[in-house]
Amino acid sequence: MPRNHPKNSTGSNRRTFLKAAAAGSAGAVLSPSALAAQQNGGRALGKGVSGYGERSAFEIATRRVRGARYEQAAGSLTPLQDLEGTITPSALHFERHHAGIPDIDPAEHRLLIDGLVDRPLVFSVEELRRLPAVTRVFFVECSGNGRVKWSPADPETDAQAAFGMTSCSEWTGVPVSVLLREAGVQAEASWLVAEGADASRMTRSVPLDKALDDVLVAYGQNGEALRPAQGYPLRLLIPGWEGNICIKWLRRLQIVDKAYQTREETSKYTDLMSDGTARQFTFAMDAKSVITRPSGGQRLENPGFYQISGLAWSGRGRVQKVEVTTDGGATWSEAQLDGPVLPLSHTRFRFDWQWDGTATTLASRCIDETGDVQPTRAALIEVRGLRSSYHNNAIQGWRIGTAGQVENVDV
Amino acid sequence: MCSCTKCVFVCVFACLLCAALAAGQSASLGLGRAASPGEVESWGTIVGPDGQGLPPGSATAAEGRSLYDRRCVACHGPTGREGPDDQLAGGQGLLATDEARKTVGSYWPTATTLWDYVYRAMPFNQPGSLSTDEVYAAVAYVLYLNDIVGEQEPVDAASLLAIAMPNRDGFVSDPRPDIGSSAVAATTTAQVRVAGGAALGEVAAFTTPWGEPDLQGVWSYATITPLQRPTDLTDRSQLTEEEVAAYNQASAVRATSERRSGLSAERDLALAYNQVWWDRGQATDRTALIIDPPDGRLPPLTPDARERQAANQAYRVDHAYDSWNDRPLQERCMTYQRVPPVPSGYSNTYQIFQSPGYVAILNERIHDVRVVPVDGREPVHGRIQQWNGDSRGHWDGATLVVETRNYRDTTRWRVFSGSRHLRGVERFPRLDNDEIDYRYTIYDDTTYTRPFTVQLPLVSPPGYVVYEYACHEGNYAMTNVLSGARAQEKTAADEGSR
Repeated sequence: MPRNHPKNSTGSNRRTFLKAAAAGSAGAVLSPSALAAQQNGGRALGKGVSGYGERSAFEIATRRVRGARYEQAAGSLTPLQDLEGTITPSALHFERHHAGIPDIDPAEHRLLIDGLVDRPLVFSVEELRRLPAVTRVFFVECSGNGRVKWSPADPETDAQAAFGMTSCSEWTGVPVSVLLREAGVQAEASWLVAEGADASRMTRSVPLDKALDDVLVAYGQNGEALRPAQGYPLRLLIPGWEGNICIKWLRRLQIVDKAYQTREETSKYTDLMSDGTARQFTFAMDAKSVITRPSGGQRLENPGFYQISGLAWSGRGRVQKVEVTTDGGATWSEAQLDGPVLPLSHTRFRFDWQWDGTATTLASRCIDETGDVQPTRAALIEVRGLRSSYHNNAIQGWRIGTAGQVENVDV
Repeated sequence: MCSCTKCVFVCVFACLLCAALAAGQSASLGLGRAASPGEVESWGTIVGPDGQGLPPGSATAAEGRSLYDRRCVACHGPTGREGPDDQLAGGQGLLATDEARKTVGSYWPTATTLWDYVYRAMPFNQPGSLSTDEVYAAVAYVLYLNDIVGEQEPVDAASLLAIAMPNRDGFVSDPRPDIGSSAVAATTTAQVRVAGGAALGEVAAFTTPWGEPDLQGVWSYATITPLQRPTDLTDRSQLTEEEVAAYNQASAVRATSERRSGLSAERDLALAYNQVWWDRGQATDRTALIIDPPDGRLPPLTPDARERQAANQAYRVDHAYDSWNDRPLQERCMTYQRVPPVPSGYSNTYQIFQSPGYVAILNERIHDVRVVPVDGREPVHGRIQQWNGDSRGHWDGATLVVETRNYRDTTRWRVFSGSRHLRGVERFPRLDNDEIDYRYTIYDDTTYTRPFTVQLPLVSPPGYVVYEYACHEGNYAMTNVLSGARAQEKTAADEGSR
């Protein structure tokens, strides 16, 4: 049975999702149209082969653009509630641009490595592809992901709106350590400044120890070249750290001896506390999780079995465990993790549940391998106040009404 | 190694393959094109908080006013306060209130940032269209709107650097974890430099998010300084700077010199371990790695140990190739370095990983990982013996201390001797960003008449990476060694019976 028929789901596909799934699982009773689909007569030939594949016309999950004055300086959010597994399809990877997506010919693009190096070097994309490369799965998350949770819960907020600025891909690229070894880093170097080739020439400072640890100059995403919205042909990929520092359309790595206090790491992407001080270089994304099924905007058709499923991740390493509550936080039980659990990656968790038809609240909390525990919104606000803007990893609750409706709620 | 030519060849070739895969750290791949100074300049400037990259130029706010009114006002408003886009002025002193506004005057810590951002990204719809003097003019005007400079005050590279922005001390480093249970273990987690804050590399900064000292990273213990002091330097523990340089030079010459003429095929092949493979490191300023006893030499063996050594040597004369059990562990691809190690030709690396309660030390010389609990648990029972023993650690202040015991009867260390009674105690005090003053003391009173201590500095040069060590798994080296020995025995027997 089609789960998201375009004809009957102008923006309401999420609401029919569990309904459809529930009907399917009932199994024994098929609607007349479903019966027709199972019959054997009069079959027409299907479409032939093609060069670049398309998804089924019945699949309509899309990114949702977050309102902004300019579409070139806006964001679009990943439909977390529609994803399966852990990898985000490249076409659904969230976006955040500051001056639009440049149209770059990879044959013309060059990466410059300069500053405190023995040998300033220029690399073409083809030369980069000759260097030792690695392929790794990492999430990329905007540090503003979860920003809605600084405000009291709006019942209408769904998983996409609450946490859709995270996506997880398999990235392929050259370790920065390889490039810097070629250039020869000088003794006094301690940071690098990465610069993008977008119109705003976005820059961020990266501590050299992280750069040399696990940072990639990526050119591949999910088995093909980066999407233009993800930095084609080159981007910096800084595992576990806020998305803004993963400079897209990378054109330069300048090796320097201090943080360069760029606009993006001073005026933006710093966390204002209640006392008026601001935290700077809050790079790592905290332990986070969200139940994506059932989640806001969906509906449980009738009491019975549902497998609760969601995503968990941490910028400090592996997800060690995810706990789920089905009684509004009174008791928490450990969810099952789909392995292998990769560090700094989305991790799928599952928890079998029988809904008895009464109103209740579901929520999940992530505990990562460093012991970082996803906090409640109240605990977060008590420490950080309400003006932080970034780095909100509060527990996400979903209230289940007696009619099966699912709404955003604070836990 | 084995005495028959054929199997020597096989063994040496097999090890060459591992050396090829464990190639030296210093080799350049030769890709990328050298960038000329002019080419670097063509990429444009990036301005640092120390004024690095600021081009010459100067302007006053008065000169900037008309530029602002033409190019900036539509987005930022007549006084920089009206929007509709980012507010540039006002809000000073309000950051701790509900009226908090992040403007240039209220929030930005450095004036150089303003220059850099206007230069690279403004105006939004025409970035890169302002000349450097126009950038100075726009910057001067925005600073003027914030009462930071006067209307007629020239703003140039020097004056920008001299400006003390109102919120210059408003930024703090990342104190997370800071919430509830996750904050319990946290002490200082200042890991990076902030505006006006501590520099990256201060010892206090090396703390894991859960509050343990942080030793993580790739470390090298490569050095050409010998374990024991050479006999011609009996009275000296230190080398002069000139002597160290000469030592390094001689070592480099030796490693790269052509020495092949007149060699047999297998010796020639052995010399193919040239500078490409070696990563021997440099000399320290000491004459030996042993710092105690003071003579830099291993202590005398006990009578018991001398007896054991003699018996082992006697056994090896006739039984060196009886079985794989008679071959060294590294030839069997089981483990190369022992715990603790003595430097050799390459792969002298530790890669240290930490999680709460554990320190894992990778010695990529046949993939040895020591997972060292540091949570105070008991050592394993004495009957459980392992090639590289059982390690337990604890923190002595910021210093990791690891004690290893429970070695096997048949464990053989490299360069020094030992028995299953050996205990190694290692200390890892981190000195700074890229140095650990690593030392270990060996206690084994059944082997040596007194303990000895080795100092083996760990360094972490930028870009230093661990290369995979590939042993000769999957080929026929061990089979060939043993079958070669059997063939020789048969030949000898045939000749004897003839």
